Amino acid sequence: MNRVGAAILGMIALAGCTAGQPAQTGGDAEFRVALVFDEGGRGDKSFNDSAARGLERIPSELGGKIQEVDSKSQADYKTNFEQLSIDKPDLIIGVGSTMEKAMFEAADSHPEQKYAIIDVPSDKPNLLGYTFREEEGSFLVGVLAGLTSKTGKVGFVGGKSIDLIKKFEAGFRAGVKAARPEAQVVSKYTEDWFDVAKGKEAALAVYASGADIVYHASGKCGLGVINAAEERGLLAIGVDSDQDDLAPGHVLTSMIKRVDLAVLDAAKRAKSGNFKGGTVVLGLKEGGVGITEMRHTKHLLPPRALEIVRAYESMIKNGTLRVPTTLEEVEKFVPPPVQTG
Amino acid sequence: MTLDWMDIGGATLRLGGPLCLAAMAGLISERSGVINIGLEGKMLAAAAGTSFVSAMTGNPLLGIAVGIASAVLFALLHAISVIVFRIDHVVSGMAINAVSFGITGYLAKLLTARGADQDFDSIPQPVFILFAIAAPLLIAWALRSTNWGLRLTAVGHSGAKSREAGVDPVKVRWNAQLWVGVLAGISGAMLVSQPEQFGVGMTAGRGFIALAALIFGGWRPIPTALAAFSFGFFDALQLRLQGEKVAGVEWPSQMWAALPYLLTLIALAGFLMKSRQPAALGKE
Repeated sequence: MNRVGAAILGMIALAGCTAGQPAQTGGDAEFRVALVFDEGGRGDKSFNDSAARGLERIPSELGGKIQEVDSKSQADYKTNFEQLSIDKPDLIIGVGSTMEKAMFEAADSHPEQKYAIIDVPSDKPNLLGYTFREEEGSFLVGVLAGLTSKTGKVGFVGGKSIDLIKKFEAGFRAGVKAARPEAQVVSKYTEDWFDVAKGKEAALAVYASGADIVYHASGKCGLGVINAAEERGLLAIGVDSDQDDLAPGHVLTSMIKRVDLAVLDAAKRAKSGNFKGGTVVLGLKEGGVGITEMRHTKHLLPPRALEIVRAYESMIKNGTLRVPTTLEEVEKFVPPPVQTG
Repeated sequence: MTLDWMDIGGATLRLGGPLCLAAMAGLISERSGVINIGLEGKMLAAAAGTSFVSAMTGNPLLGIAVGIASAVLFALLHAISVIVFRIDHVVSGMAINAVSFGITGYLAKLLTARGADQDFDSIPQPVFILFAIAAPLLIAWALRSTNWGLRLTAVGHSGAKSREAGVDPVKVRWNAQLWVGVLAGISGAMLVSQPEQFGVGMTAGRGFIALAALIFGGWRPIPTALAAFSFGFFDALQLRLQGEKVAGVEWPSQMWAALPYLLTLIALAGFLMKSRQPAALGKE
């Protein structure tokens, strides 16, 4: 009895453990792209979903087959890359900086295989690294938050306090400082990417401190942040994907990170035949980051707010304004005067 | 900065409520002699069931019912494996956590791929909070003053001896697992009703914190509930102190995030000395 039971449970446990089955979509059988999601996975309405949108454009725009692979935990990355490297698609894409180590190891042991990774710079000949100037987009939403806040206090909710997320915070703080030097910014970290309820509680804590706008860079926790904004009748700012529709009228804008463009670009390079490793940096100028059209919230902005944002945008694009990337730089940051109209 | 104690009180109840309910589920299981580390998986199943069905039907009560039923299903699976097949309780609990994570993740992915709306309008939080406060009181009373409670405790001490006394330990344990499912189910439903949408892995270790509260509370309902709510209180407090200057310094966020765990750990270490673990726990 004992053994039978153990075997049954074992099988069930294994069934629960396997990473998601690869989803294949038809098209030209020649060109194949495989993409590995990070542990946040599809459905975050944010970072991973943006990558998925890029992947889905490949069959129609470039032709070929796509394959998605989920990662249940960070321990799966290595296995996922190894298995894919045996399968030998034309390109393997890893979504997220947490895969850095696993990706570099795979790239080293399979020099003939082409790889691309999001959010990590690369110096390898067979690995393309895409990084974004998140601070530039975050700066613009910071300017908007500073101008729009009625209480003079705004907040930030981060996921884990890693350098990448601090870059969002730094850009945001600098933007608020530029638009409204006397405004206060308070930031909280959930130290988690999945805990939707914790995300909501973190946002509620920010609102309780007197802030009326919260920018988040916290993966799925952000869905809780937006829910908190809706519940309190205040404002949130979305991230990575356009999250304005998640609670219309309560998401001031979203800082869009075009992970989809990076995915598509990597596929184009792999298909063209002159694939070279190295780092591609996507900022405001390259259209890699930006803000939404604010379909539901334009009426909330004070007059001239959009003009001011555009003025800063062109200063960043033409290089006269360099946005801080760390909190130390924000301290020393002196915003340049803005000329509008 | 000034602390708004009303605000912190509310957050304490919201953060501590799911922990308290899950800890009560663990209490009933362990008082009957069955180790339960599968609380996490049951909460997750309930959270997913509640969210998916509420969003699909627009009826949060139906969602909660399905959520609780999902948790009960997993509780009965645990009962089959430990009572019928006599599998190691810890192994079975771990399997339940893994299976629940896999199934809920898969379903969430399926719904996302179909573009189905996943957020819903929940019933008001205070209803759940009421449950979370009433449960330990009711259980404390039931353990002391009802046949059900006395049998549960007897079976937890020794199944063999209670059999001699005419109490069937198998029946009592099956019944206990049913309640485990119901309580863990309400816990998961409460959790998902806060942000009004499911996220894969959203329980984020709460099932294990609930177990810590259970040990901290010495397997007694009221102290266990107090432990769960004090974890909720420290979590609410740290979320408010984070990013503010405390004693003139802005402390790192990781330190704040670790605070509730650290305090629970210290408390545990202090209280383990006089722990009153049910004698038959995991042995039968």
